[in-house]
Amino acid sequence: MAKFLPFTGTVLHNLFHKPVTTSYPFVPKEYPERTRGHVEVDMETCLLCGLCSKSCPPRAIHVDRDTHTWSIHRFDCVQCGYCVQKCPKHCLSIVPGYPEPGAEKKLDIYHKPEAIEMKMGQVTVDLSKCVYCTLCAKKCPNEAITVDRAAKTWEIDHHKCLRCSLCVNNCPRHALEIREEEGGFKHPQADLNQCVFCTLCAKKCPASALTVDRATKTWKLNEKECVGCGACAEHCPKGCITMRPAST
Amino acid sequence: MAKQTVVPFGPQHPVLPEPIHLDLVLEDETVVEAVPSIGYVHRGLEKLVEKKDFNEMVYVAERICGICSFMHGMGYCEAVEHIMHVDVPARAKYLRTLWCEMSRLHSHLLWLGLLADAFGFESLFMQSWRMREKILDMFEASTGGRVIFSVNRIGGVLKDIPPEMLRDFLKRFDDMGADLRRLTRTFLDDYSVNERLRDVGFLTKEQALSLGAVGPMLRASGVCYDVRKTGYAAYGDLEVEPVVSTIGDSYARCQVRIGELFQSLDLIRQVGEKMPTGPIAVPVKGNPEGEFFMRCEQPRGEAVYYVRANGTKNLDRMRVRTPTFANIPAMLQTLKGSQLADVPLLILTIDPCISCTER
Repeated sequence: MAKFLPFTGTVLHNLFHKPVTTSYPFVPKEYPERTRGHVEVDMETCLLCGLCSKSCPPRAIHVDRDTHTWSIHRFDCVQCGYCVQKCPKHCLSIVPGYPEPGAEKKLDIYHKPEAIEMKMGQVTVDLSKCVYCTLCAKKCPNEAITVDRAAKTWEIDHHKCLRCSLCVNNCPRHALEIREEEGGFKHPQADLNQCVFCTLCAKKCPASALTVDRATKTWKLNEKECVGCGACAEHCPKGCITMRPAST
Repeated sequence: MAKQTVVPFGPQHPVLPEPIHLDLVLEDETVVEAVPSIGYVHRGLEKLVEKKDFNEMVYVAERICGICSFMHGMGYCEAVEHIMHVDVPARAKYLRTLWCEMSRLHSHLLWLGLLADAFGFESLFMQSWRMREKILDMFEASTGGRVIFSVNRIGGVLKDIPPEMLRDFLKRFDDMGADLRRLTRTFLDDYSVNERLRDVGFLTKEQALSLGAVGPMLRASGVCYDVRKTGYAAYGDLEVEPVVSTIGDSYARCQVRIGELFQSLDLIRQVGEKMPTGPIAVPVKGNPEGEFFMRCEQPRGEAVYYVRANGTKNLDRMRVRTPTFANIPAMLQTLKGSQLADVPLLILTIDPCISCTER
């Protein structure tokens, strides 16, 4: 008898209950608070340091310090949230609401509201050291560098260059450098008379550019790694770090 | 002897959402041999270790598969954590275990739905997926993603589950238990389901061991083997007893997976009782150097992660041995001697994940 019409209960239940599905799109879907829908940027606080673009696993974010823009390929972004973790100024966030569908892959460009003084230097090459290995061109996230090994030419498109310094960091011959300009990119400098070598600045540095040794009382900055975000100066309990234009 | 014919099966087939191709050698309607070929969805994810640093690779690893995404991310993270001697906080381990078991629940319910769909039981398929949907909602509420969770990081997890959310989840899982029991009656006792599953696709204990089958496929053939017993994440503190069936046919595989659903509910209850307080992650400094083999039990079986690091931010090698890859030889064995009409069902009983296999 138990096997007789075993689904009668289910049928009766379904007859007298509403369907479990919702009538989307007439009833819009309510997202939980934590839903990773899309990345939002607060351009007021953004420093255009480029750490988000360097860390983005699908390379969906591009930061241009020349035109003061932060842009994202919405279709490339996988909403992993790694940029949000990496952002030293906490100006990025992931909020509910998926990006709109589209007929073409567009780049969403955000401009920094006031043109702040942020003239970055240009990448220059010392051709006497360069061996035309093309590593810089391969590393360049925006294909700004063209290297021809046969013709021994090295060219850079300064409009395309993101000043991410990846080429500089990866050059095996140390032939590349970024020449900074006055009033532009700033590096921290510590007043060692006040410094207590508490290592807080090194811990807070998102680019791991600072090395502080309490035992030998040394404070060292790796200028190539520094992104000029000012997190060290902000967190210094003694206020002994100042952001100054980088030396050339 | 009857004349042999070769029937190409796949890569596109209504039962399989993912592409795998089989050349079926038939004598009348009986399969004598099956020759597989894979490679339709190879994405080269392992090669990406040369381009992405080891922290970014977490997000690549969890995109290997859309069903066991959490466990792929966790397996990779635990491998790197072992190399770097990172002591992961207890709460992070318990949260990982909770999400692992939720993944297993949703994966097995997905499989049950697909199985019902494969033998043409549409409403059973919908009932299974209705329950799976509730788990996906819980995933979205706790991690922010329905399929790809991105909550793992090297040194712990990124998001915490507040106590009130956890209580709510445990209550929902309790309700789900009652629903599941109703669903189970149909899967295990219904006449038409039994007709399709019983005595189809036998795999003996010896064959399962010699062909290197893993997961429910292995346990359905009577081998008591579950990597969760090794005690990774928080499984060491919990009571895990492998679900084993000795029959070895398609019905046994269904039975083992249903048993594991209830086991997962029990493990989630244990996690809820023992959930410790404290931090959910520890900071990790420096780069890894060394190598490690990490094994973890995914819904489909044992997955192996091999990670070799050279002291720089890029790893030397990451190799993933996924459970479907290990189960393909066993699947070919079950196909031998089966009827052509049973082939889609038999392929489905290993719970194939071709994206995992080809990475």
